Amino acid sequence: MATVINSFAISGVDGYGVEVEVDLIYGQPSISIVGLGDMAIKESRERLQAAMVKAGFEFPKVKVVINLAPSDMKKRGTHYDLAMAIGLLEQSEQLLPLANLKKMGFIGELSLNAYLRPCAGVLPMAIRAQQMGLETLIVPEDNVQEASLVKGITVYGFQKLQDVVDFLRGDSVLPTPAPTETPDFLELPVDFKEVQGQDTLIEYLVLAAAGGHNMLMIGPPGCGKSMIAKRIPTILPSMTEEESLEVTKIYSVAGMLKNRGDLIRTRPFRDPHHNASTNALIGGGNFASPGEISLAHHGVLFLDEIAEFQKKTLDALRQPIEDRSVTITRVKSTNTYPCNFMLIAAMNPCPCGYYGQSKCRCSDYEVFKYQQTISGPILDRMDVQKYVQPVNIFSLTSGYQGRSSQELRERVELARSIQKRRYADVKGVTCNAQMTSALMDEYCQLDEGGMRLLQKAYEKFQYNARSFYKFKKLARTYADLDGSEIIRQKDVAAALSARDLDKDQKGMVVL
Amino acid sequence: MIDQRLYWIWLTGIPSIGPVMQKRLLKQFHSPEVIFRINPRELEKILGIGPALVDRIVEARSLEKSERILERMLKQNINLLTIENPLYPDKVKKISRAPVVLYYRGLIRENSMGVGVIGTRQCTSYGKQVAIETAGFLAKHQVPVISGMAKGIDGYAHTACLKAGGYTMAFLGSGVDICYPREHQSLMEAIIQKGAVLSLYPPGTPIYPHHFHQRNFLISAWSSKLLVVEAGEKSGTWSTVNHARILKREIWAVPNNIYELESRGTNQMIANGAAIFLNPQQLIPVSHVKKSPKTTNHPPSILENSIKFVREDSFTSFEKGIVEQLKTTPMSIDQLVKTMKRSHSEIIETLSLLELESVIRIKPNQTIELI
Repeated sequence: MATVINSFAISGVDGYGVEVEVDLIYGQPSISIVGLGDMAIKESRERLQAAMVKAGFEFPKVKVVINLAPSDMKKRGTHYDLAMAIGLLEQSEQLLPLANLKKMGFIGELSLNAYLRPCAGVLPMAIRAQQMGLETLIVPEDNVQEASLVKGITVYGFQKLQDVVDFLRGDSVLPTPAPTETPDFLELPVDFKEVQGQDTLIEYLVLAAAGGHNMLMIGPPGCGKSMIAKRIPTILPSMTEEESLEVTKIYSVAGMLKNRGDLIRTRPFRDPHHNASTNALIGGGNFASPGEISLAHHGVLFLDEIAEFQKKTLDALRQPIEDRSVTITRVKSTNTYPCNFMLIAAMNPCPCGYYGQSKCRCSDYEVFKYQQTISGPILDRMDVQKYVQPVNIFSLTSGYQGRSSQELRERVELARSIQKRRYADVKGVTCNAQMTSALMDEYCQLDEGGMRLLQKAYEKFQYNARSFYKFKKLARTYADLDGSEIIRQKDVAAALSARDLDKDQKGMVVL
Repeated sequence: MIDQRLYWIWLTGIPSIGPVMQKRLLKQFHSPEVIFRINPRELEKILGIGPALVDRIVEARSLEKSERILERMLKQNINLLTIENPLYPDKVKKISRAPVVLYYRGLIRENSMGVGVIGTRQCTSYGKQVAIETAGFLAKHQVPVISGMAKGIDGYAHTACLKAGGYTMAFLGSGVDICYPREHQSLMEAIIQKGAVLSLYPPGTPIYPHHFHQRNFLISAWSSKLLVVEAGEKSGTWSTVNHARILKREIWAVPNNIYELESRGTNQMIANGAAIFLNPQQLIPVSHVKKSPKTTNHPPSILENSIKFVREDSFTSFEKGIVEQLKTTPMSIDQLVKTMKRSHSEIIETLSLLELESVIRIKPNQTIELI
C-alpha cells in the first residue's frame, strides 16, 4: 500500500491540502513524480536522492512513483521535498511506522546536504493544516515563526532531514519553539510631526483617510508630496486581527515574510516606481503571483509621478479599485487576490512642474494637456484632488510644531468608527468612499442650505454630475469627522474646497 | 464660364510681381482675366513693366496651379477675399503693399478691423491675465480681436474673445488649412466657427519663418489699435510693431516690471513712444463708442481699483476679519490659520463660502486674494 503524507499547495492566498502518495513498484530503478507538478517539482528527484543518501539513508533501487493528489490541479514549488522524502522513507521501511503520520503535515525544501530550506506561503498552508484538523506541522526552522502564528496546531521546526526522522522516531525530544519577537519590518519610524508647513494639506489627508477616499496631490518637485504620502499609514486606524492575517497571508504567498514572529500589524505602504509594468502592479508572472496592489491590501498604494505611468498600466487599476479584488489568470494558474487599498497619487501640475509660481511659462493648453495624461476614469476615482505648494523655509523657523500622527489618527478613528457602525449591515462597504448611489440617497441627505451651496458651486464652476456625488461623499466624511449625524452647510462648504483640479480646469482658457 | 477666382489666384502667384504691380495691372485692365489673356504688347505699356517682366507674365500663363489651389479651397471650404470685395476694409485697401488676395476660412464680418492683441509665446501669468481680460472686454464691446494664433498671448486673446462671445480674426504664416502650433487645432476650429482665419498664402503652404513678416504686417494692417501685452527684448512682436508704426496705427504697450525678461520689449516700446496701457477702455475705437453698450457692468477685476463687496453688510465678524487680513496682502490658508487663531476646518469652510460669493479667489499658487 502506498504511503500518504500531508502537504499543501497555494491557490491565491489560501492553502489547500495535497496528499503526497509514495509507492514502490518492482522494476527498473527509476523515479517519476506525477500530479501536474512544475519543473521545480520534477527536479525534486535529484534533490531527494542526494539528500537521502547524505542523511545516511538508502534510496530504494526500485521504481518509485510519487503522486501529488488532487492530481488534476497544477502545482508548483519545492516545498513538497520533505513530504516526498518522509513518504519514501516510510514506504521503504527505513522509518518505523508511526500511527500519527496521518495527523502530521510536512513543508520544506531539501538541499543536497539534507538541510531544510525555507519556503514561501507557509502561513496560509499552516492555516489550512489547522483547518484540516492536523495536530503537528513540520516546517524548516526558518519558517517556524511564521507557521507558529496559527493557533491550534503544534509547529516544529528542523534544520536537517535527519533531525526530522529522529523526531519521528521519537529519539530526540525537541523543545516547542518559542517565537522570538522580531521588530516589525514595515514599521517606519515616521510621524506627521516631522512634516512642517503643510498643515492645510494634512487637513485634507485626514479627510481622505477618514473616509477612505483616494487622493491626488499635485505639486512642484520638492514640496514634500512623497514625504507626506509615506506617513499616511500612520494615521489610518490600526488593523484588526482579521485584516492583519489577510495582509500577512499575501506577504507569505509573495515570499516576503522573513523570520517574522508576528502578524503584520502596521498598514502596508507600497510605492512602485512609475516604470512598473502592468503585471508588477496588478499581479502576474508565470504563477500569477500578487502585484503591488495586493501587497498594499489594507494599506496605501502610492503612485508617485502618476502622469509618467503608462496609460495602459493605470487603466488596469480601474477594475481592481472598484472590486477591491483582482483575478489573475495565467496558463499555469488562476488566482484571486484581495486589493483593498487607499490610492494616493502625486504628480507635477504642468510640464515644467512649477505651475502657479512666477517662473512657470506653461500655457494653459500645456497644463491642461499634461493633466489630461491621466485618463478620466482614474481621475474620477480620486475623490480628493489638492494642489500642494512648496514650503516657505523661512516660515518654518517659527517654532511651530506639526501635529503628531497620534493626534490625527484619533480623529480618523472617530470618523471611521461612526462609518463602521453605519455600514455594519451593508456587505462590502466599510467607509464613505465605497458608498453606492443607493446608500448615498440614504445617508447623504443635504439640508436646504447645503443644497443651495452645492447648486451655487455648480453654477459658478460648471461642475459635472459626477463631481456632485463626490462632494456629497466628502461632505459626509466631514460631518463624520465632527461626529455629526446630519450633513450641515459647513460640511458642504468644506467639501467644495477639496477638488482643485475640477475647479481649476474649468477656469482654464482653453478651447 | 471659368471661375474668376482662378485668375485672381493666378495673378497673385506670378513670381516677381508684388501687390503694388498687381494693383497697377488691375487698375489698367480691370480684371485678372484680362491680364491673363491680353496681348503682351499691351502689358509693356504699364509703368515699370519691362520686356523681362512681360516674359515672366507670359511664361506663367497657365491655370494649372491655380486649378489645384481652387480644388483644395473647394474641398476645405476656403474662401477668397479679393481687394474688390466690399468686405475688404478700406483702411487696409489704401495701403500700397496690402495683398490683392487673401485666403480665409470662417466669416469676414463688416467693419472687421479691430484691436490687435499680441505678445510673446512664453508669457507670464500677468501677461496672460491682461490678454484675457482685455480680449474679453473688447468682445463685450463688439470690437474684433486681431491676433496671430501663436502660443501664449495670441492664443489667450483669441480664446478669451471667443469665450466672451466676440469676433476674432487670426492671421497665419501658413496656408489656412495648416494649424500651427498644432495644439491650437480646436482653437482654430472655434475661430473658423465664430470668426475668421486668414492668410496671404495659398492652402497647403507650410510654415516658413519668413512668412511671419507678412503675417505680422497683416495683423498691424487690420488693427486700428495694437496692444502689445508682453514682449521680450528680441521678440517677433517688434516686427508687428514696426509695421504698425509705418502704417500709423496706434501702438499701446502694457507696462511691467523692468527686471522681467518678458517685459523688456514692451517697456522699451513705451520708451520709444508707445502709449501706456492702463485699462481696456482705452482701446475702444472712437467709431465703436456709440455702438458699444453704455453700461460697463462687468469691468475687469484687476483694473478696478476699488474692491466691491456684494454683501459686506451681511458678513459675520469672522468673515470680516478674514477679508480685513486679506486686504493688505494675499495669504495662504496656513497663514490665515496662524493669524486668525482658528482651526483649519473653520477657515476652509469660510473661505469656500467666500469663494462662492466671489469675494475671494484662490490663486494657482494656493494663496487667497480678494477679488
